[in-house]
Amino acid sequence: MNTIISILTSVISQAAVLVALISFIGLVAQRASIERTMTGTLKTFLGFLIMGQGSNIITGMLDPLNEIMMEAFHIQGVIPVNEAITAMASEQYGTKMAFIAFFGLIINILLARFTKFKYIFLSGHHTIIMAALTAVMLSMFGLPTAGVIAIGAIVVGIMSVLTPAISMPFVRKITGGETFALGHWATTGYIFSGFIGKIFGKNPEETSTEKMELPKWMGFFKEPVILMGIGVFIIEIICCAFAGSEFVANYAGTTHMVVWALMQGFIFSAGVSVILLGVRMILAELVPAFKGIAERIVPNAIPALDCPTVFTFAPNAIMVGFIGYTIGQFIAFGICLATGMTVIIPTLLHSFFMGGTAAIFANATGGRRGAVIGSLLTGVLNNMLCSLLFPAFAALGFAGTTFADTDFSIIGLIFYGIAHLLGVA
Amino acid sequence: MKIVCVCAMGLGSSLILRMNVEKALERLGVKDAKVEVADTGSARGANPDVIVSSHSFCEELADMNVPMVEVVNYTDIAYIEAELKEILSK
Repeated sequence: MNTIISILTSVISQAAVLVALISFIGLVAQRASIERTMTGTLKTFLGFLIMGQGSNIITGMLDPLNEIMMEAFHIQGVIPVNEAITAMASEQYGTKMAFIAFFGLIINILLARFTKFKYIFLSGHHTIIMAALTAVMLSMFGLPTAGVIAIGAIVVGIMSVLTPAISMPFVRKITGGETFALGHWATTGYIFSGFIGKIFGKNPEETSTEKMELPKWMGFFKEPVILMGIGVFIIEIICCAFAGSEFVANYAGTTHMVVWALMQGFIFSAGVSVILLGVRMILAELVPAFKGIAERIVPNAIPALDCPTVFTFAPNAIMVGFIGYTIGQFIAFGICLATGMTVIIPTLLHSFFMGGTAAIFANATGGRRGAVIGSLLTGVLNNMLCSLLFPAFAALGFAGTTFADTDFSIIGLIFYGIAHLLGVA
Repeated sequence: MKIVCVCAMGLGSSLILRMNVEKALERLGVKDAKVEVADTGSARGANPDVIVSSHSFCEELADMNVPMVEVVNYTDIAYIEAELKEILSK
């Protein structure tokens, strides 16, 4: 009997096994072939392990960077990358994350079935990230595991139907239809941008960004992982220059500073690529299973999809947003430096996804002027929210990276605020 | 036959495309096609017979000389079905 309990406990406490089990249930529910069920389950298992290994790569290069940055500027800079902090969180909170995601998806289906919010949240990577956020934040309160899972799942479930619902008026305008909703947890930022566009922009139809002719070279901004490598390289080289080659030699050995910085930048990209590979494998099984089950239970379900699904309706706005959002990030960077708050390093990855989408929202309400101002202010907002929340993660032992998207920051700040009021943080 | 759905990170919108391509193939009665997801980097190495993606990635991968389905509305299965039907008939 003890052996059985021991095996069961090991199974449940090894998050990778747990996630694979969820996949297994999903595949069986879809009546997949035995071969498909086995390969699907094992792929999910492998994907989770790959994600964990990717996290090691990132931690490995962020530690030296943090020390060099401290030596150079006496600040602790943070590069917000959802996948990185989620992978790090999975080491300690993986089991809670898996359960929160699983039950969160179930609550999504139930809410869609029994309320007028018929949205099925299909951005699985964000579900996992929110599960990580809630698992980490709820650990501040000293709740029993069941409590953490229950509250986390309720947050995930409610957010899954709420955010597509509140962005729907804008999405309708952008896509001209009702066939899908937006499922991306920077929604509060996008709505903010939409309102900024309404206030500061004018004549959305006449001055739309789509009526502009943009230069071809801007297409370069479509490779997020490469951009990350270049971005981190620039950060590394600046920090190394100010820290001095003698200090950097502690980490770089006999390698020249510039070459070492380039390596570090792209090791970050390598780590993110590995994490993405792992997440891809996990989602490949979970999202179709979830969709299949959801569609059977919720008639007239509206899929809530990842932000690039609106990119196709306003491709020029993405480029405008990229630039606007980047400027906004640098403004936030300046504010953080000046006020002594946690310094959030401008991260071009977000200029593409969140900047692009923010610009699309603001363009729909305020044309190109809306797109520029909306994306810029959203960049400032998102990074300042990250900066406000980071101390909570620092206290829990995380360093160097954090959650980036608006909704993660907002939910995190709500929990952080409650923890403050209760005197636990 | 290998169909590769492409997006920026290879795990968000491309997964939606994959699910809808699989549905479209089911409607067309095609049974021997394999559908994968990829980002632009991996797409090149994947040897696809058909690429399904948005305009900007299709443009970027145009030099691969592979038939492409350019998607605007990711949920329009009828459109994907019609495009695939045309490609398959060639």
